[in-house]
Amino acid sequence: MRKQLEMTSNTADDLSKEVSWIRMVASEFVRSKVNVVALGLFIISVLTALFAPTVAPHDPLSQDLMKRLLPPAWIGEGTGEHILGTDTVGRDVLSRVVFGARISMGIGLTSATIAGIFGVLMGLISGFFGRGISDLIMRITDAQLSFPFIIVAITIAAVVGSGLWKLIIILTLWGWAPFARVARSSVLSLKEREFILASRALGAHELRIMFFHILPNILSAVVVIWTFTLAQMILAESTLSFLGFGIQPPTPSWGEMLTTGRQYISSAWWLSIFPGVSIMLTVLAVNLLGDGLRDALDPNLRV
Amino acid sequence: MGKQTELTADKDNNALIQVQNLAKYFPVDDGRRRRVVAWVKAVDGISFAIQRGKTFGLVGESGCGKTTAGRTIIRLMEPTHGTVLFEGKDIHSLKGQELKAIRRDMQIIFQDPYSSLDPRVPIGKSISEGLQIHAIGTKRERRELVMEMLCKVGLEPYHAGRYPHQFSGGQRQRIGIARALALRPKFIVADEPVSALDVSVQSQVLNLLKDLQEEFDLTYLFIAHNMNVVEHVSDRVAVMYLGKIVELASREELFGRSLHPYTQALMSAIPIADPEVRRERIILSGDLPSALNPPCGCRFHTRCPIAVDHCSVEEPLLNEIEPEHHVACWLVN
Amino acid sequence: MTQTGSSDHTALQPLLQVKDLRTHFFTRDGVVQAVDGVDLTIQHNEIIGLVGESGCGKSVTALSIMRLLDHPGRIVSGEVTFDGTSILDLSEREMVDLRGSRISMIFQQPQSSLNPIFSVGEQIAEMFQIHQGMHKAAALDKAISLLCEVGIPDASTRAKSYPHQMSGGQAQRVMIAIALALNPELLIADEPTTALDVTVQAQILDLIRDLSRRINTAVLLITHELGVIAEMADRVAVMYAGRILETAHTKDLFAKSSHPYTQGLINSIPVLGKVEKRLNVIPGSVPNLVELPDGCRFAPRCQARREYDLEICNEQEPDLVLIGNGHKVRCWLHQSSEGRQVPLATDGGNES
Repeated sequence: MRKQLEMTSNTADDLSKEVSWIRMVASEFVRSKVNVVALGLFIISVLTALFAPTVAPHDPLSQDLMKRLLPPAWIGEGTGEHILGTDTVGRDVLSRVVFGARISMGIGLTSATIAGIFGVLMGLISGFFGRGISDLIMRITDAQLSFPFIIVAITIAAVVGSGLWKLIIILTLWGWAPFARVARSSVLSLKEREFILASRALGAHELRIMFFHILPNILSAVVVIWTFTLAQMILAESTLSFLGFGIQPPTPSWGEMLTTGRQYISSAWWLSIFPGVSIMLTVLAVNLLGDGLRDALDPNLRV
Repeated sequence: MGKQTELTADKDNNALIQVQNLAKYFPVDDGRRRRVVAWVKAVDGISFAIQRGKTFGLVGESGCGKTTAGRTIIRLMEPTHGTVLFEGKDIHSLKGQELKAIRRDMQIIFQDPYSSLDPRVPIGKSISEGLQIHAIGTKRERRELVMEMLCKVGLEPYHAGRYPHQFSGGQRQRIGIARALALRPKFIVADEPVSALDVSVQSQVLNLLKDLQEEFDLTYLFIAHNMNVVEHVSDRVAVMYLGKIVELASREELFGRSLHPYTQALMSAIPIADPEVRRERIILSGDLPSALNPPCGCRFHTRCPIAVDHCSVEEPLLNEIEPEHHVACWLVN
Repeated sequence: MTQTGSSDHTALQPLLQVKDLRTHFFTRDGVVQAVDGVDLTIQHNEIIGLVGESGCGKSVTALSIMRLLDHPGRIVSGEVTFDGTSILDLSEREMVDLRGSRISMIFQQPQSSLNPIFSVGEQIAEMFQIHQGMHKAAALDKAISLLCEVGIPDASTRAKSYPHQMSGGQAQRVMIAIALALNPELLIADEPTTALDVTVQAQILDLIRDLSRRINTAVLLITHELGVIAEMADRVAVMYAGRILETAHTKDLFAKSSHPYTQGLINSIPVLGKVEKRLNVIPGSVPNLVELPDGCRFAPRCQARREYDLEICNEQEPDLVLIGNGHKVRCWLHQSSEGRQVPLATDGGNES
């Protein structure tokens, strides 16, 4: 296959069309409809989170005990005012789901990104510099990857208490290891490549080689891991909130809504089903996005 | 027997490059990455000089250490011992700014046109990278120089924005040459620059290298495994075997009357593109021994068709058998 | 003119006959016409060389004969007749029986053609076990004697080695042992020495030549090196951009090469002992196999076309015509009956 691709791409005539790398990946990505749908869902989630105050019809915290446990609009007593119904203290479920996206996406994106930056940096350092640092970092990632996350997270939360930033830090500490591993192995294989040697022969400093040559070349792999990490982060945040170690009420988060809704699952199913469906759709979209990106980037990974 | 010239071989004060007793050993560890259990002596004490404006050919089979030698000479690797003088300066003692400055004078062209260019960087940027590192010229001047270099190597100015995967092997090799030349170096290590190319493209690149040498007064260290390519480009030639130079002479001498049995075997092994010519072939038995555990005595004795007992006992030194013709063999006097 | 095969073999049916073979690759960038109308005849016991640059379709031709093409490659049309049977009509089962026993193949990278988790002895023995139903012990004995035959010293010990413990040259010897284990009638050798060192290359070429003569195997030797062809082949076919441009007895091809491409190839190699200031070159590079030129595929790079200022080269493709004893060429300069000779394209080749 590779040979055939070379036959077509190595000829002078090919130069008539200029193809940037990003455009190549993009055209590959949109070839699959699933990818486009996943990207659409992901963008909707992000936009919802960003513009929650505009999108949400009500204040997610305002209670109205007169309208407790209203079902969704299309069932019995349901009203158009509360499309997805209300909860035990009469708060609008739709608004809470919308604001919940803010917490879930916000925490997920922030911790996945910080974990990514930190992990890639660690990986670059460990791939680039001597054995001492490299071994140390790799042993830490080994330890990291062998701990049962939930138990560790609960322990930490129990000791230091919970809260938005504490949650982000816990998630980040849990999620950086895969980035470090992938970055390191890419660095090790790229380091011996001749274009790196050529750059060194031109007098380039190590830092320049690291950020100008190596980083762009591992970026595609990192983006793929980032999406999968993001999905895991969203799930982890929900899990922790569900267990009561995450975001504390009354701040709406999907996990917290699941916990409270759980008790009413037989009488008021809408309290838990809608946040549950939101988690599922978002995580599914992000995972599909990761798959799509991986496939789109793959032919280019034969750099 | 000629005078012993192991260390002083080829000493010349007018030389641009003087390599003296250069050696590079690689450690082999025990798998748990802690203890060094052995050394691969990739380059084991080689000495030669390269005259300004000339091409020095370094020829040998894979694993003989020629690539390591080339990379150590321009300090892409640190030698285990030995010195390399560039215009009289010991390049391995330089540090910081001095080292950076001397990088401008020494460049390298690689064998594999696919891995020698950064796939994520447009080729114009690759070519101007050296200029950027050394802060030469304004952005505009750099761009003009890139255009000029592209034309010099036979490409078009509009190619500058393209990525490496859009070029053929031969074109990529030209880009690699342009990158090496952008800093106007004095010395270039050409490490098998045509081995990965198609026959019809090989000769184009060889001609280009020759033209550029004349235009820019370049000095080449030309590393290759093809005797015929080396003969075509070189003024002086050294033949390496398992980390050592076994024969070193001017092109005319070496190809006219080679004295070392390994050189003779290398030359006779080349298939000749003429079915009418039927030579008496010297076919060496066996493969290249491992550099991890080279044979004692003369390293070539295990494959040598004329070896005698003494060859496995003591290692012959590189002797000047005739003026400017050095051979390391007990049977040549 | 359509009669293939040279006159001295007419009594015999050719071992392999390829007629108008077309193999295309259906890629997203378009249809790559890797092999596009190749005719090739291989007689019993002869060594035929197929020479050309990378991407000219020589390896794809071999894979098509073996029917080992992978998606997106497909044989679009043509006939491949092996010893009277049409290979392209065989079922996959029949093809499996044929491969290895009657036609076998060796590749450029011997180490990656061997399975890393079996010893080389076992891999050779497997041939006898699969195709001849031999018992393992007997098969291993035969494997050891084969290893001896391909020049591996201390064969009974070496049979227990694994591929990574062997050098490239030795691994290629093992591949040759496997390929020739069942005395096939045809051996396809695809760049068998390209990955090897020059001194080892000479050994392997000698081995292939001697063994094939001894067990009466015909060899299709695929290479980009004219030197290898000159030393090995009885006949040569020169391929370019999916087509055969010239075919002749080896001596004729080198003595009176008639296609400008062949001449260019021969002249661009630096010759040992003949130092020239500049090498002759073929300008440009191999065409894109998706958008081939209309006329002769070599026309855009052809110096003879420019010298003679031939219009037709760019418009219409010439046929492969007979110009001498088994010597055929696909070039407008030779389409007329008298067979005009093209002067060698020279480029200031004075001695230095």
